[in-house]
Amino acid sequence: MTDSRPSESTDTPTGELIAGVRDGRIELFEQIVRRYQQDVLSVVCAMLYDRSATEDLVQQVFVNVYRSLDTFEMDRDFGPWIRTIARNAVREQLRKSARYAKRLETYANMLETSLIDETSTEESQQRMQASLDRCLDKLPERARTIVQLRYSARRSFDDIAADWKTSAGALRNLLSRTRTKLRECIEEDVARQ
Amino acid sequence: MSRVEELTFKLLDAEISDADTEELEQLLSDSAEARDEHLACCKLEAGLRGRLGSVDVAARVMAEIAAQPVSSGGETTRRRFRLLSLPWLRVAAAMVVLCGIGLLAHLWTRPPVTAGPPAFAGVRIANADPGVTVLSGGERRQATGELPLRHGDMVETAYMRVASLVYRDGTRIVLGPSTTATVGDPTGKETERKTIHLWHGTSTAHVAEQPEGRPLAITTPGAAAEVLGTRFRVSVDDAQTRVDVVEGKVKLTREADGASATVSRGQFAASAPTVEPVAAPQPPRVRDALVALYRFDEGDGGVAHDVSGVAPIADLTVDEPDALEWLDGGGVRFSDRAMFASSGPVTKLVDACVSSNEISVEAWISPSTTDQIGPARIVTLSGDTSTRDFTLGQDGSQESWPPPGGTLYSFRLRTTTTTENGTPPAETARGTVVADLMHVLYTRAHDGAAKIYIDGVERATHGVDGDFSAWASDFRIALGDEFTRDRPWLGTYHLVALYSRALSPDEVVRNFRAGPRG
Repeated sequence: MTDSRPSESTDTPTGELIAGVRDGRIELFEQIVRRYQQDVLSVVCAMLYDRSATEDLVQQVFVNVYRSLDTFEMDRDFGPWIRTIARNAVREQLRKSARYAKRLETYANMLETSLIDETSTEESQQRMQASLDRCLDKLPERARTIVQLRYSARRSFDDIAADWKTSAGALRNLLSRTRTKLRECIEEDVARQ
Repeated sequence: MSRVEELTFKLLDAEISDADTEELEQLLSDSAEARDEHLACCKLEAGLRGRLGSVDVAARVMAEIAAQPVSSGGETTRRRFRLLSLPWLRVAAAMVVLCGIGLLAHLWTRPPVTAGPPAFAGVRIANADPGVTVLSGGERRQATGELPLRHGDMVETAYMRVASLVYRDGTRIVLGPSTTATVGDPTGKETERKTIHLWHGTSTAHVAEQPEGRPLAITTPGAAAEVLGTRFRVSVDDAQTRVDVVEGKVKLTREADGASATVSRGQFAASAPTVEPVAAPQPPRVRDALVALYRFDEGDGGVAHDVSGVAPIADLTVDEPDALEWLDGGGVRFSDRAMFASSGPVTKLVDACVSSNEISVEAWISPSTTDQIGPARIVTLSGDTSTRDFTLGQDGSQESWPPPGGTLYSFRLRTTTTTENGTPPAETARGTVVADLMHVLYTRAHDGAAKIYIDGVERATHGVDGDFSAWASDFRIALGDEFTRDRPWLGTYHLVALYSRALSPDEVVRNFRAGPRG
């Protein structure tokens, strides 16, 4: 098989890890998880309004991968294969959510068709991420910090407000304005490319 | 910022109201431009979460697959992940409160930083608050989301923070604020038995039935409590180990000389270097400012009697007697939609609370499921779905079902500064509700400080300004549903008490220790 991913914590090729797990060395699967969990997360992030379920679904994807490992053909790329499993898991979850949601069917359908469609993910996602990086760098310090605290540290508005001695409402407004700026910035950046 | 953007961001932050959701849905269905704008916001959000969000699920995944064989030409055995959904019907119901040994002992015998064997201890942290850390293999990290623990891992909670440890069989141990505990056996030798060593702080345990000969053990530096099927809370103060048994039996043993006491329901025992463990009766429940009390020990019929002794008596009558199941030893289960309600306004409660501008609402309950929302009415003094003096309910996100993150306890209270609907509510964290016996107690003091305690531990703090002069005097009390019959709550009532003052934290613990039959 081929694997274009750079290794992270080890130089062991992914193919050898898979073979080892298949031979019963289950502990090697932990390296596979650590190597690909950010990839899976980027797919699972399409479940936008069900944020608390994100990590559960990432976990579920890897358990599914583990269960299906014998069906993986070693001459294929592992990355696309695992992302396909992730996309299927997201679709299933979104359908479940839509079935139970009161009025969000339209929203869930938009997500399913537009955010996790395979043909739109790879290249456009890379362009989007590159633009996002450039636009994040352009943000004022306070705006960049609130983004980091919300998305990286995953802190609540109330927690941040207590630290910053301001109101949670003011922080919500700040983050909303920041996201608007980011969206405009990314649109301009992509248009220039 | 456009209205579509504003509403979309609210949606993405999970802070959108029903009315705003309707408006957004309408905007999206009316305009292609709105849909494009909405989608652009979603793409940005996905980008931000994918770029900045970090996740480390390796430990959790490995814990889940550790017991599974690698598939050989087919799918491996499926396993369930939702431990909280395990039925509690087979659990021996009991509750114990154990208070541990002193601060000096804690300081002298500070838990060692263990290298941590790789074996998982069969327990995970579920719904950790911020401020919960795990020391594992010499590395300390924040516990976020759910995290499997290894033998020897040390869990520490910060001030006002809690962590719930959940075993595969549904046994649940809640570490209270400012608590330090080691999970399992650091040597890795004792892996068949559930063990927790409490160095300092408080914990409450709800223990499923354990295998014969392998009792769950909670130890402190000077004592040990062993149980085969019970629930108990462990606290460490600066002097002694104390066991408070609410239901069932627990054996408390002093480590130094093996002196022990068997502590039964309604009793407590203390152990210290100079105090030999002896079982003694619990102090009675708080009665000062008690206005109404329901014990649900009628055994049959359709009436829950107000046994407070405070006139006028406010008995509650059920509208669907067939939906009730009276339990041996006390308690009534709502297995289908039903509502206990007073026949008229409860003026003694309204008059007393309006006079004091304080209230405490206490409930010993066992929710049937963890997915009830509405809020599903547990205790309400209200007119319909939008007018009330107060409501204690079970609630969760309306975005999807089952509610993501689990459900919480919510308390709506009308004052001169809140709405007729009693909003904004005080709420515990998502995932607080479990389908198990729980002691829930809400207090609001005249200075506006409101708190929700669960099993004697403060789990939510809220400010409610204003006074009770806005209360309506014609509302009736109901249990199990709203008067409009569209907010049902299913579960078991063991005790409900209403007070016209805010109980102190010590009084809350006293009522918790007294148990549902106290």
